[in-house]
Amino acid sequence: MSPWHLRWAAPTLLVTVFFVTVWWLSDRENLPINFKPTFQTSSEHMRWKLEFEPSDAAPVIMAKDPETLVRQVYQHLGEGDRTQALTTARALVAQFPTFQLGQLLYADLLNISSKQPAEIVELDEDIKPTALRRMEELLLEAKRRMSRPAPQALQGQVPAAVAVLSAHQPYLAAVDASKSRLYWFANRTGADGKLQLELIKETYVSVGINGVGKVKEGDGKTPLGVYFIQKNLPGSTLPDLFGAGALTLNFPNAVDAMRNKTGSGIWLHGTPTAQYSRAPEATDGCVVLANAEMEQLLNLPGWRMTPVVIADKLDWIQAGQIPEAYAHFRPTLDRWISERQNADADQLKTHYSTRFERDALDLEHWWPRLIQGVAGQRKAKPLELVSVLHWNDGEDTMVVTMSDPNVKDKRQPVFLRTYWQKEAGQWKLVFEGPT
Amino acid sequence: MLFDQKSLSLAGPKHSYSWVTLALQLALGLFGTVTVHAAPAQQDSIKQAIQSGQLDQALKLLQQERMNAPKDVQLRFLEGVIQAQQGQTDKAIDTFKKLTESNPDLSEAYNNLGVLYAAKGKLEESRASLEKALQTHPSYAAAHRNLSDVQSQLAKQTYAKALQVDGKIKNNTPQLTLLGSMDTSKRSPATPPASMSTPNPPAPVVTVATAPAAEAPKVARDTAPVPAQNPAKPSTSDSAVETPVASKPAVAPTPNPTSASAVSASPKPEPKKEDAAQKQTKADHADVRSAITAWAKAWSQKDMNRYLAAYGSSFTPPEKMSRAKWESDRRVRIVSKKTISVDVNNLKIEVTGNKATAHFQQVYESDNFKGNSHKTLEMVKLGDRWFIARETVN
Repeated sequence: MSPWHLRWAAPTLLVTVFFVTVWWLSDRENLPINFKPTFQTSSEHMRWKLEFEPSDAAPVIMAKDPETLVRQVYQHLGEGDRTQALTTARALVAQFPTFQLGQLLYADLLNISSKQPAEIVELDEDIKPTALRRMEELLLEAKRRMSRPAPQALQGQVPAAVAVLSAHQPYLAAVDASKSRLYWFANRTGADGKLQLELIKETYVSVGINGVGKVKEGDGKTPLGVYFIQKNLPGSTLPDLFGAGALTLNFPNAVDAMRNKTGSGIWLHGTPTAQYSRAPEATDGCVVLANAEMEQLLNLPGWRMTPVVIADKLDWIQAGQIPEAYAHFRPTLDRWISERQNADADQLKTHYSTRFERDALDLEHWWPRLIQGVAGQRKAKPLELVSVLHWNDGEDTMVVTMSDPNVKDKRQPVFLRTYWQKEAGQWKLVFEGPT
Repeated sequence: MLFDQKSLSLAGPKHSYSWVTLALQLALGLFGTVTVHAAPAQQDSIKQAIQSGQLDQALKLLQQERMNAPKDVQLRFLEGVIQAQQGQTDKAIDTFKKLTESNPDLSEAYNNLGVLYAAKGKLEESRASLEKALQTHPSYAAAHRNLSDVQSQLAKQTYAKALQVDGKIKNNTPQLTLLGSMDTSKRSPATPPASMSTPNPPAPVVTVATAPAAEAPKVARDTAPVPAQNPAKPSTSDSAVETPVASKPAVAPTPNPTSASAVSASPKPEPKKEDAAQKQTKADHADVRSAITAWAKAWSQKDMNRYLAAYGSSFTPPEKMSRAKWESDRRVRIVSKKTISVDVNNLKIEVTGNKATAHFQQVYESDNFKGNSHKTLEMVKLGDRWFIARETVN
């Protein structure tokens, strides 16, 4: 039962050193214009400023999120201003006391400012695995936060998953699990249908403790693909773990169900009181963001049906560029819409996959019901596209959400969602149903 | 283990030196309290000229002033500042170097020297000078050490918060340095509010104050019973590096020679007829004194047997502690230290019958703690020996 020693100095200095470098490499575009690199290894000459009176000006350091302050701390370190870095870190922990990464950074800075840095702290046996794991988690969180692409760098880019987003769909969300980042776009697509997105929020998120690619209930993974926000659950109605509240996702979707994926309750939600943010991989499968961020999402008007792309690594394309898969898919979709409008049953059926499944009925059994809604009456107007999104997880899948302008009866569903998959080079409809 | 590997892989980070860099300031010290010969008004206009960037003008004014006071420290300092601002770094270094040679207490000059060395890329020299700047003033050195320890403690605490293991960390709390006295020169009205960057170099006054103490006969700690002839033991003269003797005029040497000798029954000016009782009192005084000296010596030598034996069976441990508990506490406290030194100053003894009360100033110093306290020992006589019955710090 020898006491277990956790060496602080090693990991902590690591955090500092490593992230100064990361900051330096990744965030150069954010540097103030007059910034001169004063700390190259070859730096021979240190400059000074003349001070007649000791300056005690202490401007209030505040930010709306802790990450901004973490960035500032590293920027000060990069400029060699350790005093300012320490001051900023102190402000960071004062403003966000439950932001553990900030505490770690502050501890590091205090420690390297001390002539006798804390080297070894004895921990009780029972908490050592927890502490060790937490340290690793914080290191990973720091790495993810600091190496995130600058929002400016994403200007003019959109996730490659989105092909169509009608002006009636106000938002699009995308999660990059490998970067622990959520991107929330406002849809600025005009009447011409040319996709225009404006990034209005990008924030750190946590995903499943076992990563991504959910297959079954309890696997601790976050599902990959395209989901849609269904409803909100206010924080007051939920346990503390969910923080500010939740937006629920439609997991498992029709394709998940066909693949026998199980699980439920995959949400976007907030953080518990004790933690401003959670580790990059920490949840049961949900996507978790800081309460302040979650609150803003919950307060957005019209978040309902917002598509949420969840990818391990997001692909980006230039806005306005037609995704290749969609270029291939578009003619099929157009024909299907037109044949449906014209109630051309035989032609229509060629678009349906033999794997089609609805309410546990295969195509042959479901077809009469399906055609009943379509045939007989020639529709006045074609279906209107609300959104078309694409992902490939081994199978190429399109999810097309449409609204039916012919529906006048309020009790009838306005929206129709179809899932399409590529079979032998042909796009086939595998599921059709209400949203 | 895990972390060790990582740290190895990142050993020798490319830019590591940058964040160790101190935020450098070229402090233009306002050491106004020191021997100011030059007219302050003139100096102000020199400073203003420097501030507004009119360096030639500043130099001209300075040269005029120096005609009157060629040795003036303030002016020599300003000259260095001007040279530095003019970009004549080498000259400025020379100026400040000479200034520190003639005035080893000028922490501002050391600071500027450190800045200028850094500007030349001589970082080791810079570090050394900056450390000197801090060392020139012992209380700053102590404050820095304290700050460093507090920071390290705060770091541990913050790590606990970061890792969410609050309150479960075993902490070895570092011992800070409490200064038992203060530098009166710091309180002179001319001094600007205390600040790290404008330290007050020990003024000449200090030397004057030290003089009597230095002259006074030293009583070595382990000198055995030195009777009443040496009333005023000099305060910790050999540890003056840490807390200069001079810096405690509050308990200063000045009053001691008279007051102490008066109480300690040393030769009085008008010799009265010494009766037996007086003789006895005198002997008791000497015995009490030697008992206390022996006690302090045993403590200093961490001789626990002799130290504990100084306390009589009637000794009342503080806070209603049992004797056994108190003894074990003392043992832990004392034996854990590498070095201890206990000095007894200004000892005043009152004897009534077989009881005595001793008041003195206890100068205690251990590994990283230094303290001055006023102590009272109540002593009882058993047989022909004096034992401690009660120990209080007031």
